[in-house]
Amino acid sequence: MKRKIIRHESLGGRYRSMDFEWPDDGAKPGQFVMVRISDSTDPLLRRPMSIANLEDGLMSIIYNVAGRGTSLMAEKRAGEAVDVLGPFGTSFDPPKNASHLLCVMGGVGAAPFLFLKKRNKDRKMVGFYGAANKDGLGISIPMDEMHFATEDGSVEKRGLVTDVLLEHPAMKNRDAHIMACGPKGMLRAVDEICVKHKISGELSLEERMGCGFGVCLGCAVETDAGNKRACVDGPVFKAGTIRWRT
Amino acid sequence: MANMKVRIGSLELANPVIAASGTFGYGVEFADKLDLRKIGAFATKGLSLKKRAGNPMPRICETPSGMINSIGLENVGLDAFESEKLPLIRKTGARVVANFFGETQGEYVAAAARLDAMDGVHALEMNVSCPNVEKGGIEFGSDPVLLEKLTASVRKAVRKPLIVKLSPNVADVRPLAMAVQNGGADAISAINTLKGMSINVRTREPKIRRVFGGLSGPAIRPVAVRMVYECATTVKIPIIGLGGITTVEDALEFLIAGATAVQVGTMNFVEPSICERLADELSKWCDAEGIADVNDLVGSLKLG
Repeated sequence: MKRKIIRHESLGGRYRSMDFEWPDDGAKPGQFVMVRISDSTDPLLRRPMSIANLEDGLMSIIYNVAGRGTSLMAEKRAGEAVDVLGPFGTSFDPPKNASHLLCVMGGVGAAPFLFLKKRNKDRKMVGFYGAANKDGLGISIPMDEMHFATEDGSVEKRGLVTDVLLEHPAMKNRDAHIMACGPKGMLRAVDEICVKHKISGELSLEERMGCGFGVCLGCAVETDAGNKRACVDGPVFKAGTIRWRT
Repeated sequence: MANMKVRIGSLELANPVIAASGTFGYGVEFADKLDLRKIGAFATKGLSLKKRAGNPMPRICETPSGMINSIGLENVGLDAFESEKLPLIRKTGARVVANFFGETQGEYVAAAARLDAMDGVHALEMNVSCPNVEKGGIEFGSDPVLLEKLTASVRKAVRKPLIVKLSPNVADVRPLAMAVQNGGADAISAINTLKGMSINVRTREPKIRRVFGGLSGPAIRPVAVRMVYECATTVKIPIIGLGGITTVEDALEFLIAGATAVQVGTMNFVEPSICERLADELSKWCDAEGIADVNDLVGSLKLG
């Protein structure tokens, strides 16, 4: 479906934000859309992008200009059309009675948490935002409390975002709930933390996807219940269910 | 309005556009994306007697105007297909080509016989790009003697139209097309994916866990058109042409090369309603060009 681009801008570093018309209000935080880069066949496949907001008939996505496809996408201008399918996948569903909502975000993986916070304004959320360096922390999220970690030490703590999470007092509370989106290494660490501390959690997995709606089987995720598809059975999975490969 | 009906053995299709196996799930996933009654048929994900988990990740990667996949024939198995998928498929009114495979001749025959008995399956498409575990892993589809024997034994077990899907990963496809005809199949579909490989130069790892995978998409189309032409000029049974079809012109190329019908594969991922659109555009193209019957295009290549 072709949608008109209303705003398309740099967030600093390699992140860009694109807003396009989206009259339907059905999307939920954690879900994604499949964006076609161009009308040509090269690049061929759509790119999965987290929904960063949906408000007043506008959908926002935030992406990292990382390769040829996203570089071409970055050239699109406001007023032009973008071909978008979706929304697809499962969403974050934090328990109503959670004592603390802890959001662990890696790089561009912070995007769905913007939407989550927008849809849960009255729920207190603590953000833990990590990246390799300052440039990777380009998404500004209005959490009630924010902590940062960078691998090069350019912002706040030097090290991994999961180390900052472990130091937080809320981790002592079994009724806390962790939600995470970011690189695989980070998700796996969060998963292990959830299991070890017996805290419930949800992990949003990013996989290469061919279609986004469950038919190509390119985004298989091994779980305790067999192969699942990141696009329709995920991208949000319950912590403690994924079988990580070394 | 031009006649768009085509025949594959005893099966009549409303038009020559079929969604290709492995790109269309079990059809039901597309029920809200297009009108399944407006396409000729769809081919299911490849089915085996028992369910299969498939290959480890990563299973796909993008290549110039194409993609490589190594899904590893993951499927729900025939029991779940019959009890869970088929009742839903029947409700859509779609024409169904059940794609199937095995690791031994016995498995092929058993799977085919079961599918032949299922209400709602209109034709069978045999994937022969699988290693024969009884013959040292040689692909059924690469040896004419093996292929004719396999085709003949499956033919004996089924009464529905039998299509054999040929692999392009052979030196000469013509003896294999002949073997399929001699074995008694009703039609050939060509081509399956081309064996390919792609490397991440930064990590020096293959982009596909199993190193090789099947290349599909517009990148393979000229190879596919050539092989369809070779098949069509070798055998009398109908050919179903596929490989990188994206536009109505692409579909026409296959028809003119000798295909009676076409399949659309990879582009279903990019544009889920493409089969319906191409069926409609093909009909309009025939009308605009004064073609009374789409069958008149088949094999109409003019050689200078």
